[in-house]
Amino acid sequence: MVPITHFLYLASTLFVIGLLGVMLRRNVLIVLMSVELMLNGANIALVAFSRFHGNLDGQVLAMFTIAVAAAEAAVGLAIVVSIFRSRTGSDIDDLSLLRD
Amino acid sequence: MSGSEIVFYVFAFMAIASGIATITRKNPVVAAVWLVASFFAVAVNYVLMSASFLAVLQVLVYAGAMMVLFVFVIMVLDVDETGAAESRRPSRVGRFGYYFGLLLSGGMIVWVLLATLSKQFITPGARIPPDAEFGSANAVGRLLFTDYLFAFEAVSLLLLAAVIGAVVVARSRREREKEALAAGMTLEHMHAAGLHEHLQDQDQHEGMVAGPYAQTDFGEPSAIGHEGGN
Amino acid sequence: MNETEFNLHFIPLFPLLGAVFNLLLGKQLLRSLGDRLGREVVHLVAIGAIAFSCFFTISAVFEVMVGQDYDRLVDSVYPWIVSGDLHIGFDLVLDHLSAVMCLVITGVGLLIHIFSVGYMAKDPDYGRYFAYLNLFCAAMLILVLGKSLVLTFVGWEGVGVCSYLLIGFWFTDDAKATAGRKAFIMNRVGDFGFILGMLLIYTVVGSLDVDAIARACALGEQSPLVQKLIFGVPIATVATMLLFVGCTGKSAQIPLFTWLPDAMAGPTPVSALIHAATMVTAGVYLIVRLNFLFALAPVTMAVIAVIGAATALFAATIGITQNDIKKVLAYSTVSQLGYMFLAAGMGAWVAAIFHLVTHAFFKACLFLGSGAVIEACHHNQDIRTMGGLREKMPVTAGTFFVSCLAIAGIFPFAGFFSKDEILLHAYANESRGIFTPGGMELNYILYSLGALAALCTSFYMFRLYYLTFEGKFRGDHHTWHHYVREHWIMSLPLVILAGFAAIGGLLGWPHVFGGVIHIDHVLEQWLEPITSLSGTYGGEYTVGVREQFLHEGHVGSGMELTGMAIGLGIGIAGWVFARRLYLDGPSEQAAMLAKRFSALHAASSAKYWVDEIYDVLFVKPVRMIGQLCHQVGDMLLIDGVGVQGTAGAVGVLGTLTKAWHNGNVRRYLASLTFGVAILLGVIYLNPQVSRGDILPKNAAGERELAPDIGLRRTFGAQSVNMDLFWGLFKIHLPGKAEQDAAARRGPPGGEIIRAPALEPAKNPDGRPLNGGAGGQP
Repeated sequence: MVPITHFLYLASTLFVIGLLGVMLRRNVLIVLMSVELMLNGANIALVAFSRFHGNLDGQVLAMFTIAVAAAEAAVGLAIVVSIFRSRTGSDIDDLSLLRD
Repeated sequence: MSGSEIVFYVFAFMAIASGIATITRKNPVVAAVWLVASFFAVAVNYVLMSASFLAVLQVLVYAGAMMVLFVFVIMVLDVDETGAAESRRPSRVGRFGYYFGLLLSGGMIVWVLLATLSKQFITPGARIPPDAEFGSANAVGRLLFTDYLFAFEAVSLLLLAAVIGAVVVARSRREREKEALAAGMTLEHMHAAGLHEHLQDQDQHEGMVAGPYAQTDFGEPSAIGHEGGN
Repeated sequence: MNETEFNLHFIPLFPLLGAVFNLLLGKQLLRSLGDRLGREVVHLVAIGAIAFSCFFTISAVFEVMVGQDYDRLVDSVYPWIVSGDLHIGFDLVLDHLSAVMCLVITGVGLLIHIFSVGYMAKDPDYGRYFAYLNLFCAAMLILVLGKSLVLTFVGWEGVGVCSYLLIGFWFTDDAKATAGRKAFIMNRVGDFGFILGMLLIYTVVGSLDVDAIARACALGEQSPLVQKLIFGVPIATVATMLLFVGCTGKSAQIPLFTWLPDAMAGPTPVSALIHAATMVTAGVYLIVRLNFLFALAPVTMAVIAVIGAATALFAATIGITQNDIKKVLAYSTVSQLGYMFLAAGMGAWVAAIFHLVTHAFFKACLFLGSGAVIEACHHNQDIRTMGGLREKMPVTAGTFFVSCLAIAGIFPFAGFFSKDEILLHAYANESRGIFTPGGMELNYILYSLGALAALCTSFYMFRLYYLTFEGKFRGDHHTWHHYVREHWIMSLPLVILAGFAAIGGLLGWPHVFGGVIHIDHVLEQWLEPITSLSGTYGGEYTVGVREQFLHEGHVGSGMELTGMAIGLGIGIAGWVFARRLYLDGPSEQAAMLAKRFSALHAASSAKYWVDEIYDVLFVKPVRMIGQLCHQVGDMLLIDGVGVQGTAGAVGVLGTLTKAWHNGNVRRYLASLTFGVAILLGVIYLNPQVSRGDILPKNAAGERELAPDIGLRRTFGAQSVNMDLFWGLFKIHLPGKAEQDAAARRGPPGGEIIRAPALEPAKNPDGRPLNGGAGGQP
């Protein structure tokens, strides 16, 4: 029997790996992938608690997370595409217009 | 060590290792492949937690559909596969951001582990032994279409909006011009609407730079020249 | 007292709607419909509104109150202020007193609206003028119809605002705008007294409903209003004094009278309506409305009588030397209002209201006549450059003359009866031994003042008449030949008002004449339910009844007839005197007299320098305080420290934090992560949390690992009433969903669709979520 804590370690580790990816990488595409990693980490925690409580709510919520992640990926990639059209690179540091 | 434990440790290690590989590969295509591997490992972990339906979804949606989308976009855009640009140009954030991020992330890992290791979390296994139905498509679907129907519908709406949004955002300038012509707009109209500029030099910019966009202008055009990557 | 419900709110509602209409659309109508048609629409709406109000009042009074014998009509429109124990309803009441007032307001108001059509015919701000006029009528009607003092106060302030707006109607002229401000500010001084008086009454009575105050006063000397003292003075006295301060402001009595002559800056019909017939009489109305309260305060009553008599004479002496046709009438108004307060102070409520009514007629007629003269003379108001206008405008001259006869107290015109009644009361009420200056009974002094004022009144009114209408024209040639012709729309109201001024005395036919031609004192009988409220008190506080005694033979008929003869003699003396001096313009005799009494003449024509004295005493110090507040409070503290200091601080902080906002997404994310890390640290390194103290206990007394945070409650269907939504899916979702839907809809008999109850969350296999399985596997 695997204790729930081990699943939580896995979840937090995946989450932090994703966070590191988002913070350290400058390639927009890899940043998006890292976000997916973070969402996976959160999903594992949800499913683990769901299993722990014998309550399916967590799984349903994880399913919603997957759906939202799909939407996020679609829109995010569309934005990446249009950025690529207007610029040559995919460096997230070039996109600093939030300041203005 | 029971069978399930062995499976867990193997696939947990695999998920973590693939995740690390994902964020360290220079080439986005390689990173995407590692990400798929990580998703598969996570799916196995779902099965271990009696979430069989979710595991299937994970493989289908994440590893299947979304990864295909990623790879497709990477291919279409013809991005720098060597990652040379990223390593060649110094980061604008500089070393500070790098180390700050590492420090914080390391700190967070420590904190989260501390929190999870503290005594109230030391609870072995699940308290409720699952029945056969737990996590099956039947049980999850029942819940999804009864108690969570409203949220389900909301998510479907969200997906629809995302699809439309993605189409609108990613549409190229040339397509829009074609549509405008088809709709009977004259060149004067288009000029007035700001569409006509750069119509003639569209070819040489194709796929790379196409002047100021009305809707998806992410920067002033003058910034393009001196920052060109490849 | 029998009363019934009646839709009284229509009375003020229609002028209000007319005001809203003209305010919103007036300017637009003139622009879009053309000048002629636009003006037609504007004034037809305004006149229609007030005419409806007038006919509604007439039918309410004569058909319902008289015809069906009701004493009061009431209308509880809605509960207006409900706060704790305080209940103030928007209640209107039409009793005998407010019926008289409403008839005067709507009747005279209607005529003045009609007159305004001619007077304002060339004014570009036509719609605004009629809107304000309608608004004034609405406010005044609320004032007199209000059942509670608060509602009366609303009307009181409303007429004040309208007065301000109309005095400063031509606000591009700085002097006129200043006059409006002066009126408003002086009224505010009085209103402050009104508010304090109301609050003081509330502290004792616990309500501001007039009925409640009447009940509290009905105990006479045992009333808490008399028994409770404040600074050693009965509360009734203090409260009535404060209310009277409000009355002096609104009704232009000493010491707050100086705004009224300046208020003549407004259009002349406004002066007729607001500053002669209606608004300025609000103070008299208030005192008569609260007669039961004032009757409990003999000191206040004496003060009112003295102030009234003093004002009457004071203003009348100023009126003698004024040369502006409207200024003369303005001081005349102040003087006549003084008469009304003299009557009220004597407890002669009926006489006060009687004079109010007759004064409304003849003073409105005089003002409108002066308006016609001013219009004819191209807005020249100086009577020294007039004369002989009777030839050009016979109707105006005739009506003006009738009104002069009325105000001078010549038999049988209206003023004769009302003024003589007041003077008789002033003479006969000998019981008040409160002030006996110089060993003289107060009432004789009051009578002398009143009689002297009557002489002045008669003199300056006929002086005005002769200088304006008789003799030779003294103005320039051009004016004489290009005067503005009389128009029926301006003459008609004049004729009607003059008619009322002539026969208005029939309302108060004296009892002493009863033997000759028997007509009852209509007004006295009509107002009996109001005046009897104060007539039932015993002892020293008997004020109201004395009036009835007067007419039941307690004053000898010989004395009454003598009084009338003296009054008539005074009126005729003033007339003859004025005729001798001014028949052919200002004569040399007049100049000689002025020279002989040069000190008096100078004082009178300078209005006794009251404005200058007030300027030194009040205006300048207040201005200095204002300057100080402006320099220190506004410029230094609020502008300097408050506004600019805040802006400067924000600017400094902005430059400090600007470096962080470099638009770099990763930097932002790092900051966000840092914040999350700190929050997590605060939570998890907190010993209470790490011990698990905050986690809820389960049935077995153990800490639960993670509380049931109610995901389904937060995200699930229970948070939304899904009954309609469920209906759509009922067919496609057999089994559990349908049962759930049916359960949510409740039993078949229930009509109300309830939100689904929060049933305890259950696992799909039917076991409860947290209960039962507390043990560890």
